[in-house]
Amino acid sequence: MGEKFHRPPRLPSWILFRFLPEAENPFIGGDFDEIYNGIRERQGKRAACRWYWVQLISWIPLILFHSFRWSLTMFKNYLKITLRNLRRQKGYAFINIAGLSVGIACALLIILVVQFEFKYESHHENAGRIYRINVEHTQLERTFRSTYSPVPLAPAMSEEVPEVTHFSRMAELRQIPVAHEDRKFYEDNVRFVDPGILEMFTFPLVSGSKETALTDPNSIVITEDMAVKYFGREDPLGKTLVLFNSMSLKVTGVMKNHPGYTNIRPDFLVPIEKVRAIAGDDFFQNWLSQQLASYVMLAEGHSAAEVEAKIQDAFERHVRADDGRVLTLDQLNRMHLFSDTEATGNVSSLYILLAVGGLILLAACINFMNLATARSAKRAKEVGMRKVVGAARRQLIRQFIGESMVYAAISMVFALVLAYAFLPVLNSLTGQAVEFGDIFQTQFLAGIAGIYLLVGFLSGSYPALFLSAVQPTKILRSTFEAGTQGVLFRKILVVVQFAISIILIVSTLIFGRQLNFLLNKNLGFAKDGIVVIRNDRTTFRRDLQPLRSELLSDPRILGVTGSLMLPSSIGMYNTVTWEGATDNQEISIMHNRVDYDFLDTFEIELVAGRNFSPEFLGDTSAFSDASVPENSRSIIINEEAARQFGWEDPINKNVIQVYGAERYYYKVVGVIRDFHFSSLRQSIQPLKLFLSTDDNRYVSVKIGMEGLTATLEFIKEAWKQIFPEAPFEYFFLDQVLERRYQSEASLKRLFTYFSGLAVFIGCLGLLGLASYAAERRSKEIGIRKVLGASCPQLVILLSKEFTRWVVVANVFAWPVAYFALRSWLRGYAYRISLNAQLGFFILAGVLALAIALITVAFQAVKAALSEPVKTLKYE
Amino acid sequence: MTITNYLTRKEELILLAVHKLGDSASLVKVREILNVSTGHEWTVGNVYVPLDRMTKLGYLETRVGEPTARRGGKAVKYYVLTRLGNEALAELKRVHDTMWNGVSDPALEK
Repeated sequence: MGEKFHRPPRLPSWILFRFLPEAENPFIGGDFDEIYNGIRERQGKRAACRWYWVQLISWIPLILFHSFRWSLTMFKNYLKITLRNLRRQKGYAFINIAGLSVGIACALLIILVVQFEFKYESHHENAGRIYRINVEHTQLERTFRSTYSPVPLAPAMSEEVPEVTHFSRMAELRQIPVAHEDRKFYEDNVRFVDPGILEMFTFPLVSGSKETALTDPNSIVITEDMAVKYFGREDPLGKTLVLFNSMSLKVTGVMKNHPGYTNIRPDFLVPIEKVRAIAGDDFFQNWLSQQLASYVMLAEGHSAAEVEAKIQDAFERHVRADDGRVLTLDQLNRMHLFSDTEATGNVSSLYILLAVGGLILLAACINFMNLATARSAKRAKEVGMRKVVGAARRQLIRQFIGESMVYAAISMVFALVLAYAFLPVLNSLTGQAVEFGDIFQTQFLAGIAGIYLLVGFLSGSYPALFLSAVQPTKILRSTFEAGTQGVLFRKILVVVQFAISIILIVSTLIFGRQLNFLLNKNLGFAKDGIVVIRNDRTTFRRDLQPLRSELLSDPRILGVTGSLMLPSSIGMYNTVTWEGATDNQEISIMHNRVDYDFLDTFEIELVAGRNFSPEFLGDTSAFSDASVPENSRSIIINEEAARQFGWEDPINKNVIQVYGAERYYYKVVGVIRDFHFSSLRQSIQPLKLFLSTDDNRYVSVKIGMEGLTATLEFIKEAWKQIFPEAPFEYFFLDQVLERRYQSEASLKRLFTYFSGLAVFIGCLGLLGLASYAAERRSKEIGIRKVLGASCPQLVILLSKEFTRWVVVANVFAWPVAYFALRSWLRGYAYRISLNAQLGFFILAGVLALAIALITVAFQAVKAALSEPVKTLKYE
Repeated sequence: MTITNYLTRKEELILLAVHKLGDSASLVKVREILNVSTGHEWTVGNVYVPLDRMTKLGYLETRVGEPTARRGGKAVKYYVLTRLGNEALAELKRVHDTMWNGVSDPALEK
């Protein structure tokens, strides 16, 4: 022949050779090469290649058929046996499937919740490039972190740092009156922003154009919900909304409503220039205080770390050399869970949940393994026969794994139904809006497939490996003692399962205790019977005196006071130095402006000095007078402040605020007992109070709890009479405080449910094992009865074994639970002492034991009551 | 004889092709004959699988030939009819002839 030989394409020939029996390779390979070369000579390379591929593909069905024909036959047999077993032992099948479905459903629900939390802000296309600039200020080992930053910061950074391509500030003002014709509401979600916001964030516009919507300073962009609220069915574009009763803005865009998984949910976007009219020019030049959130978008391929340094440099050029504030960047899509400054989500509780889901799933798998090994005796004869007839061990393993896969598949279907049914319940527990539809994402489906394979494999693994290893001669000899194999393994499994249940029960109890502690701890101020009226921007500067005298004329009203912030949530601070400070050392101190009767109304204890009083000029004197020590203004500080200043006797000492070149003096006239003015997760910080009679953002009215409705009605009437233009919106202080610990409350509720489920699954398994044990020992019981054993003796005999396992489970569970809970409690500055709660560990153990005993005794009694005649007559 | 019960039509044709080729019945040659006489393209799998099956059933034997350059230096496998194979073919021919005998419908002629 002598022609040139051409190698066929590599990939298809490689595939071909993988599927062919090795002995045939050279011949078939040669045949393929020969034909390939023939076609190549006649019709060219392309046609030859195509021919090769077509050959390969058209061969696939043949290869498959030949390699699976036998497996298929066996598969049909396995499936038949599986279904037959399932039908014949309905009780066991029910226990298996119920346990597995509940376990899988729990895992699914938990994964749904967790992935929802991780999805936060992911809908913003540029989420990976948008950063919020936070401010950190460390003094005396205490770091103050704020998600707000100075107003001029973001525009300056966009000019001076080349990596910053876009910026937008978001100024947040609450309680803004918004009106369209006769529709008037107060809105909390108005944000004053830079036009760049629509380029940075993904706020899809259903009408209006992203490029021009916010360029005109008199424009406003609203959400669909707001469009309906103010304009009904009319087209909102071009219509006018009036803010603050005087600021007319034209609607230039309508954006889609925000999804449930975002914290940035403005209802109205207004160009930030409009703030000038309210706050003046100073607002835009103030580098000293943190007023609004600043977001910047970085050019592609720049890391936060490198830009952070540049932003810090640029920032330091604008502020005093000893400013001390440090800027940090928070990536938008990590902000919800991983922000160091203010994480809105709680990532550690998500990890706890995931662990719980895993544990419950494990408990369900253990159930399956347990029952399968216990039942293995019944299957041993089948295995023996199969082996004698020629089954290889591999085939048997495949059979048993396959069997558990069938169970897992059935359970998976039930689990999906359960998860669908209970998701609303879960949502109402956590207050989230997790959607079931999330399940149909590719990753999630892959996850479900993963869980399925894991569950099927894990739960089938032990019976598969154990049963397939049995020697047929042993099984088929009549002396084979059924069910004695794997006893130790089964014990370990039950112990693990109950340990899981006990850990969850203990955690639930301790969570409950800590929550109770948080809710009931004496905060140092009165919170019961306090009605708080939120004041309007238009009225909060007005004197409270007329309202106070009107209200106090009624004996049901015990006190009235105004304050800038409530004693439960004081969030403003500044930095001060003090008399006797070395090197003008500065610390941060929280502050609040309060009325004369603030301390009385909230029952805050004065430990030294006096309260504010109209008799002293220094209490009321204006801010600007305080630049000389003689004119100093009076303040009241808390014990913590006095401690940090290092003052033995704080009365008449001065606190000094350095403001540029000016120094302002504040004289301490009183010291109050420390009270908790923020969450109990944090320890108490220094605080100072000023007197102010016209900063009454909140009007707090203390009332007796009898005749509540009438009292509220009376307050409302008085309010309407004195402030007719302001709405009467009120809330109860204790309710707001309760809401503060919502995440703890929902964690506790979740644990209550999940530990209940874990116990349920554990009991299902125990029920199966107990009934199996009773069945296996039925002859023994019969003989014992004949010989005169009483029913209680028999019950004790049967229960003893299981009881011992549960007791052992306690020994393992307690230390694990102890260390896990201790590290959880460390997250709270104020917490219950775990050592004082050890009783709950015992309680959980006793509870688990009691439940286990009831389950087992149920079966034991049944066995003990059976007629000996029935069990012994075939002997 | 009930041999024919075990052979498909495809296998029959392949068996016949092997017979015609005598000593040089390789897969490539068998496939060429089939392509030419049936008028459509046979895939390698469609030829190989029946050849293999009939070898296992004992109708065919294999003989390994010399490697050639054209086959990338790989040896060729020749198929030869066994006694059983010959008998099967004879049986098929007899059945065929018997059945066709006396059929003279012009509609069946090309």
